[in-house]
Amino acid sequence: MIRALYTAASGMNAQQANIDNVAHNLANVNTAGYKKSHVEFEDLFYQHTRVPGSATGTGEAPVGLEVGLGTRAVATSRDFTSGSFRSTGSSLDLAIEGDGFFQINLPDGSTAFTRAGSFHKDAQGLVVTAEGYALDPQITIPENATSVTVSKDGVVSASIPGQSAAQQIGTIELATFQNAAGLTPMGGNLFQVTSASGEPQTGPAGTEQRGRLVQGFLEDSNVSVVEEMVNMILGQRAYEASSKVLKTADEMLAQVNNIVR
Amino acid sequence: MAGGHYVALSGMRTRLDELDRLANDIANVGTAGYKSERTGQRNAPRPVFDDALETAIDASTGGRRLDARAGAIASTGRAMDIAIEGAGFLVVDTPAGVRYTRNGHLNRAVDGSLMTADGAVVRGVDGPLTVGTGAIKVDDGGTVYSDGAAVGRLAIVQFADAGALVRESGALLRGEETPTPVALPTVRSGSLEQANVSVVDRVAELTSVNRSFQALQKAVSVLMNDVDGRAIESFGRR
Repeated sequence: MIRALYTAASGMNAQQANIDNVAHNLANVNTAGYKKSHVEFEDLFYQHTRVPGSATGTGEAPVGLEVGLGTRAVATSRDFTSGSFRSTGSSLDLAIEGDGFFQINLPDGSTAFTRAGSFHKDAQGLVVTAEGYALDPQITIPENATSVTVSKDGVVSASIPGQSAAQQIGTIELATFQNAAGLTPMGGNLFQVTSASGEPQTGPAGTEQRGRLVQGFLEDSNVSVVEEMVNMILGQRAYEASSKVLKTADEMLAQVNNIVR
Repeated sequence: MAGGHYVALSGMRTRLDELDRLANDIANVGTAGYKSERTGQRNAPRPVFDDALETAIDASTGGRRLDARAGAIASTGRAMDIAIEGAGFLVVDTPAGVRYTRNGHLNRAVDGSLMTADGAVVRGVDGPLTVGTGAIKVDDGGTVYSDGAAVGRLAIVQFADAGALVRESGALLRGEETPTPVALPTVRSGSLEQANVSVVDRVAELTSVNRSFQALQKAVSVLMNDVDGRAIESFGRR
């Protein structure tokens, strides 16, 4: 009796996590470089009320009796499939056509990774993210540059008045991971390395599977609104069904209390 | 006193067990690869009580069988999600031994092998599959490709009696029987098999459990309060 109450509660908790996740995905439908995640569930362990082969009085029980104890959210797995590309026209908006990540220097000295290629120039001419974190390796745009070009393989060049040839000012390097799904999100479109993701393998854009850069484009979030809506409906109905179980368990407990009048 | 109380009580107990099962099925409606279970109720004669009671027959929970029917296949678009069409189970290595599952949500491990969300290594026909960092593709026959190069075939096995499999946490199944490989498995990549729980059916069952519990409670109540109570009252008056 009490088991069913807690089992139903575990189902409601799990669906709550599901709805939370759907809400987060939908809230980020317009976030450049956002990668949708979805919650994985697994059944909880089984309580053995009768072990197979135990004596029953008339012989041996041919089969055991196990009662499952509900469900839990086991992982939020992130889907790193590419979002659609949106043309912005800004010369420092970069989209990655492939699996790579931009490397970003954080103020604490560590490196974070992102797919959101919306970069800006700060007061010193350094190429930085919207939060002001510098791209790694650092690229400084000369003060008098009239335009900046980023080639598909990551070479950044600036046109400077009075010079006929564009001046190379750096190369953008991208990182790939053995298991990108193992990265942990740290907010602000940034991801951090974990032991599950493996160490980053860095190199110039366009080599191996790092992907080529597309200047003037941003990668949109890969959230599909239709898919999230379907998940939301399913999550809500599953929540409702578990609450029904909870109510039934409660009614049955009430009836037990009514045996003696 | 009549023995009816105990008969009704045993019926109430089986309904409580049934409720626990229903709760578990409904809680796992979102668990990929989850399999429901069916139990029967049976008469459990109690030879010990035969002398004392004429109608000492209990209801108790009978044998359980895994409901091995397939769940609906939902498209996820993720290349490393696979669903097996028709009979067959994936084979995974867990610390506790070999287990079988229909949950095809595969992940890449740091060492380049394929594993489940729980970290159990997925077996190939010829040993473990090493996929490296390449883009993964799984074809209809279960062959895994990394960047276009075949790295092996997923081991997919079947059981003569899949109903005898025992459930473990994480949508894993344990079997005593030695399985045989499926000759021509049909694998759908980019989709996952959902739990084979029908919410409609489970909620209907829930209502039925609730109502029969109510009826049994009434029986106990009538036997105790009306029959026994009145007997004590009227016989006590003499």
